[in-house]
Amino acid sequence: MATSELKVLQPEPFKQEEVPWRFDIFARWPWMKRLVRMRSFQFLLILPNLAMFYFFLMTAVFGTPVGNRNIIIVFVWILWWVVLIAALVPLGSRIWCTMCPLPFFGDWLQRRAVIRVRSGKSPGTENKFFGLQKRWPKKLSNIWMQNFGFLFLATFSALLVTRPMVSMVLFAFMIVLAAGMGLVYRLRTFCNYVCPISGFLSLYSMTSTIELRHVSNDECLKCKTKSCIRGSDKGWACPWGVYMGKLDRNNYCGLCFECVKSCPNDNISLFARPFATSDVLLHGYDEVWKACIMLVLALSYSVVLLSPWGQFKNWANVTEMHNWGGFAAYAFGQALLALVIFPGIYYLTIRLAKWYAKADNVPTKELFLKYAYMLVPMGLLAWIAFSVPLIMVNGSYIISVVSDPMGWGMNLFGTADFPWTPFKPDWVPFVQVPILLIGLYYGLKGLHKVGRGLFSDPVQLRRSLLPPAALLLGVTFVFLKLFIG
Amino acid sequence: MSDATGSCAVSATLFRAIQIERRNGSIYDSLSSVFQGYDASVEAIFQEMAAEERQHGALLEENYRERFGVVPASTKEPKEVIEGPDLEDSEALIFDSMTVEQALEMGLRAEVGAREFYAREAKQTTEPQLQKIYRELSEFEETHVRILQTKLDEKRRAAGAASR
Repeated sequence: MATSELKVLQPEPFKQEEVPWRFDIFARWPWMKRLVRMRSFQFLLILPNLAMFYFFLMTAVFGTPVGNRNIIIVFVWILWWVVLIAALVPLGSRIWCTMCPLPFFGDWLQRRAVIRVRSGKSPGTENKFFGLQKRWPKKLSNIWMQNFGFLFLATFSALLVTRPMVSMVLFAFMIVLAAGMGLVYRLRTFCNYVCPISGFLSLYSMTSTIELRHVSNDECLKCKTKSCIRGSDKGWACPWGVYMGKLDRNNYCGLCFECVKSCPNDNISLFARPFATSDVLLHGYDEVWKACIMLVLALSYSVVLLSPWGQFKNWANVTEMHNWGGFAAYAFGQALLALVIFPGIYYLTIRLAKWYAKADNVPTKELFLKYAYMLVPMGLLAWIAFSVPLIMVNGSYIISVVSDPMGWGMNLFGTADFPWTPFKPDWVPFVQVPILLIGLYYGLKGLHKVGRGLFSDPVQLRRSLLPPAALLLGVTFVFLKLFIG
Repeated sequence: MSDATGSCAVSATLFRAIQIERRNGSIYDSLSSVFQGYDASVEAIFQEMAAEERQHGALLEENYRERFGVVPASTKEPKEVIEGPDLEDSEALIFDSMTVEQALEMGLRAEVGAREFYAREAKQTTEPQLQKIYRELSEFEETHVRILQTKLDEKRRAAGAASR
């Protein structure tokens, strides 16, 4: 690194050239700001979820073990999943984290308060926190644990989505773990580094049509208290450890809105913005691997659950088929594809792009990290496409299970006997194909945007884009082949 | 511009510079607090920078007193940023990625910004007294740039030696 002060003044090589449109939601609808500034706002969102969650756990213990007759399976793995991936994430960023019941007890143990704020001097904050308040080890301060955690859970997905007790054990474990970590470590350590759901929400929230950001950069520059990250008597220190003054992507903002409450300059607002256009930079290998893992898992789930090759389903469904050799092959193959083969293909694509564009001035690492954004909208839309048959084919279970959540033969709303009725199953591919193509479009658009920030020479730009664009097309083709045969 | 008006503008400019140094002292204090319990050297360098800003403020106050008498009690915060140290990475705490070098670069950016601001103002104004004070302030910031640059170079050299 050069030692001259010029280095400091030089702009980063990547410049975001065009600023997409956005409008200030809080300025347009001030009642929304008043709502999120209420101290009870987050608790009021979490409370019904917590009650529902408790009920689901009880149904897993005392209800029927038959998956499609038990509300925990039907509501969590069909309804919640589809709503989360197809609506909450693309439209609401990490709004699920606002209302997630999993870290509730951890927060409560740390704060010894549900609604009110405690002023104090706990390390790094202007609030009083309880517990050991240890710092999470630096070596684990990344999302690798979330990557491996999600991959591990995905390997046992056949169990999770069919056995109520397995789902219950997982969620109970996560609640206990989040609470335990809340007692030992600072803030939302569980959400930041461990929660496997948080990992993919982080990645796909980049595409969302909303963002929480500062309004005026100058206000943040002048701010003496940095209350967004340190807290104040009005709001807790950012549970996620995000500094709003320079926040430029959604990944680690859990939308708790504490900064809206604590900012002394009233300088934080919620903005609407176009889909998959604004946050286009992945910052580390852990995030790139997350994008690869998620895309491969969307593919793997589609093969196991939707493809005509029943063999894969049998391998994944180890507890019923007892084919341990097949399960080992499936688990190993999936991990190999997600962790080695696909990232390896992507790496070779980047090497090819660098060679073809004669981009000796751009480090391979930079190209590898930056062009990986194309996998984000593609991955999200692939997951949405995968989820379409979940709701269209199995959505009718929701209607019946609502009346008989435990599978005990109750008929609370008169819909318990509603038969399994797939909704227009022959239309599924016609819904999936445009969704995939939208993913391809936004993947290519993002790739082009990132590329323009790296290369000013149009020929070099075009050449650098060609190999990754071909990879994206290839991925789309594989999904299309799976969905429409 | 009359002498009286010019003098008034000079005192206001100097007072604003004092306020900005004070403000930056508080900002560095806050940043030091943010990194409490993380990298102790990062926490310490922010404390050091806070102390330096306060020292700069004290020097300017002395200058003010020599010229205009008692420094007025501050009422309003200056609107301008001029010298605004700020974290570059909003996720530095999450990934525990803040280094002493980055902290010094941040301070250096702020000082360079201030130096350039005052130099620009000196060029743009036609009022001789004001021009003089802007030049003085620009030179004042230049010394801070040099101090921070030296520290940064030392850190980089030390890091380079350690890595070898």
